[in-house]
Amino acid sequence: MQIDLLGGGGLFTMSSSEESYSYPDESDLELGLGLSLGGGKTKTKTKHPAAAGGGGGGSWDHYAGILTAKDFAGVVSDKTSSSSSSSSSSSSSSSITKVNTSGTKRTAESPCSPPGRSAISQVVGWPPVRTYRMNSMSNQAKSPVTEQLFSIDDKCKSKNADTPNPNHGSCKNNNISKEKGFVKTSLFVKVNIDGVAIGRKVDLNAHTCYATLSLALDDMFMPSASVGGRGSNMERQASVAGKRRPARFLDGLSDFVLTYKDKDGDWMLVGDVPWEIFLSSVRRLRIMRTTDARGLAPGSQERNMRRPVTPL
Amino acid sequence: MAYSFPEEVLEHVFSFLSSDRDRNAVSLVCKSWYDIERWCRRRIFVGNCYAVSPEMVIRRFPELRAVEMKGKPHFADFNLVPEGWGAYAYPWIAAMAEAYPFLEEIKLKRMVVTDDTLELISKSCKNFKLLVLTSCEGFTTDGLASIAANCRHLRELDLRESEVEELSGHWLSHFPDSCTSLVSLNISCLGSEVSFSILERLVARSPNLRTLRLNRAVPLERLANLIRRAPQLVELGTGAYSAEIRSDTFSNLADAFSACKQLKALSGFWDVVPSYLPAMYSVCSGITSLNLSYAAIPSTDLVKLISQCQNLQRLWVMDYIEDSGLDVLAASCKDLQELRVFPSDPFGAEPNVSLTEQGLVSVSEGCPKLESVLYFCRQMSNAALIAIAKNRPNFIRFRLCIIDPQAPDYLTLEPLDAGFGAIVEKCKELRRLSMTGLLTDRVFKYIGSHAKKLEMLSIAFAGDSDLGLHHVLSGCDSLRKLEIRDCPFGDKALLANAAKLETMRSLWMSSCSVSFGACKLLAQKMPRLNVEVIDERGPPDSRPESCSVERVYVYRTVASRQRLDMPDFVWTLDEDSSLRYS
Repeated sequence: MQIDLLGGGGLFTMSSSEESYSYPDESDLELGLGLSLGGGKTKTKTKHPAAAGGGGGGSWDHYAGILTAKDFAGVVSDKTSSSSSSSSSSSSSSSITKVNTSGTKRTAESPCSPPGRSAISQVVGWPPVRTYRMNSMSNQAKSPVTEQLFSIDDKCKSKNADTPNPNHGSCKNNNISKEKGFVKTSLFVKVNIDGVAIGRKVDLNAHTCYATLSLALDDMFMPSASVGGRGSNMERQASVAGKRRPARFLDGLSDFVLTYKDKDGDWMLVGDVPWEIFLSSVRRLRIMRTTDARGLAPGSQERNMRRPVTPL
Repeated sequence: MAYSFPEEVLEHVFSFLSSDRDRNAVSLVCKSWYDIERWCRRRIFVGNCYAVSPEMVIRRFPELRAVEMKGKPHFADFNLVPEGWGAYAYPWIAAMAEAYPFLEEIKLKRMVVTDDTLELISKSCKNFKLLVLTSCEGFTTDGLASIAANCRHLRELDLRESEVEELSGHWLSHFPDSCTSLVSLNISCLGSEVSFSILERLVARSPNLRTLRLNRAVPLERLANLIRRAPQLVELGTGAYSAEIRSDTFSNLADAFSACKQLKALSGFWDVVPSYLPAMYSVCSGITSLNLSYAAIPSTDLVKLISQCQNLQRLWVMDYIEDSGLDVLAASCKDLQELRVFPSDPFGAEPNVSLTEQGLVSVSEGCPKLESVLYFCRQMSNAALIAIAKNRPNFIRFRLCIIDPQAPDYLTLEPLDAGFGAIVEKCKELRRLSMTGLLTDRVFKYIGSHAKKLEMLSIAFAGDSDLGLHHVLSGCDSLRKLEIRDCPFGDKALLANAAKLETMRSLWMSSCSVSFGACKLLAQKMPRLNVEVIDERGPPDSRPESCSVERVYVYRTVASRQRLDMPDFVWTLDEDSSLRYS
């Protein structure tokens, strides 16, 4: 139930005919905007159909030709879009080209696509399953309890019949894990960089190794030295020309290092443990200034050695 | 007329009005009634936290006791809204904590809530009773500790699907021993362990506890003890539903369940071991709501449980249930009103379970009261949709998600226009619709002509041209929320229907063909709409005006269009029609 901001008592009246426009016939291609634009109709820019938004007038043909469902179908199945060639119209069709981080679109292709996952997995926010749910499912796959269960098949067979059909249940369970597969879905973790208040999120399961993760983070936070945002966006746009950059956060040469908080709450350097183990213990990421991380580097390695890392 | 009754009498009469719509109507009768009503309004719902300012609310309603508010747009759930966009609760809470010392209830959805916010609530509102945070983020267990420690009369603490930074599991111990007022506790979103003994003692001293939703870290072996201390529970969320198969664990659990005569809702069920499901059979006949959407178990086990629950009204389940399971559901649960089927493997290239459109057809045939559906599947046909529409004209919510967003009718390879057209034509009470699949402008024509009661519409990868959007905006009389992603909709339809947007709560369009020029024009012409251009590529005026924006979020507002908390990737129009950004 809402506050009725506009009221029913005549506080606001909708101007009807001026603003609304009826399209009497689809074949009637001559079209003008309902609102008075002051200055009359402007010529449609015809070079880039996808970009032709602001003009009035012109024939409907231009619009009918833009980005039909077929264009989308082609793009979704993994081709880089050729229909909208100019960078200015990159938004619509390139949204379906490869993206692997929330809210960010990259025109460079992401190098490592996990096997068995469709192109769908590369589209931001699709299928529309909430992060909360996806992370729950993903954690389920790695839960030690689950793995242990699939080995108690034999134990079940010898148990008494208190619980109906224990064999049936557990055997089927085992089959599920093999056929239907507890698959990795998404694992979004927060990532912050020192000096910037606003954090981002990255899907770790979209990567299979530290190198690609590092590249992705690099792109996300690229001009890491400059505080605040405006210039950074422009620089980022300029440099995303597909150039392959060295993994800045892993080569020890930059001002920043990549660290993560593990499930025990400790901050560790990223890269010290095998990727799978990292995945199972990482809770969030932080791109720390190297000066602050000084204490971390040797310490974390020691800690790693002292406390054996048990694979889940 | 207004002078015939003393104020107190009118106030007493108004106190029987609970619906906001009625109260709003009453307040428009005359100035005197407006004044009387505003002094006695106790509850308020703000659907968009930026539609109005805290000062305006406080000025008009000086004596509120309960506030419910929503922040980010729905598509934020799917990471389409960049982090840092806004929806901060603190400014609201700060203003209200001062103005409403007797505030009792706060419900927030998709907002950023900090520990400071929680601490402020706990210290300012002496009579605070209810906190529900749905899909919120920004706070830690320290904030929860303040609530536990300071809210002496707390009745409900519900953290539905919020993202909590868990610094320690000991926050629960901050509930003083004297706190015995808990009615509802939902900590299912927490990942880490809480102290079991503290939890047990808390449950034991809360005789009014009706809802207890545990988190995954509570093992099955502990569940029996907890339930035993609260046989009056109406809603229970288990933790991980797995343990080594032992007969004593089983019988403990079964005994504990059998003492719960009032149980109506069950949820949780992570890591299910099917052998333990029969422990619940004694309560199944009373169960009306069952959330098995985290239970990765085969259809046969799901079905065994469900067929015990003849009074089931709501079922959430994963697609492991398969068509065969849905057939059984259709046959057993004649009171079913809501069904949600979630995908177990949303990114898999191939189907991993045998769940198709047939399952939904069966349920629509067999369950006469079915009115709300969320269904993820991999194939759909017009024939199936038409059958569903014929079977079930009483749908209120129909949300279909085909994993491949542009999948055509798999039998005829045609668009699914006819199928969805049948849905909107037959289901005259439809209030919410989400569509996927290959869809042309034609489906929008059907929607515009038939969906007169539709309030919320979600569209993705659909349509051919602006005509599609125009049909919706010009035809759907009751439309309040429209969210669109990746559709070839652009300026014309938007500008031609500008006035419509003021009758709606909000419009979201991302990855469409809306130009920056059109956004500026819309903002210029419609001063009571806030047109937010959300674009991470830098200032929109650094690109041609005809260039499409990444996202635009348009909402009506009586507050300032220059919200003070805009991040650097959001642009709105300034009063002098120049581009303004933070």
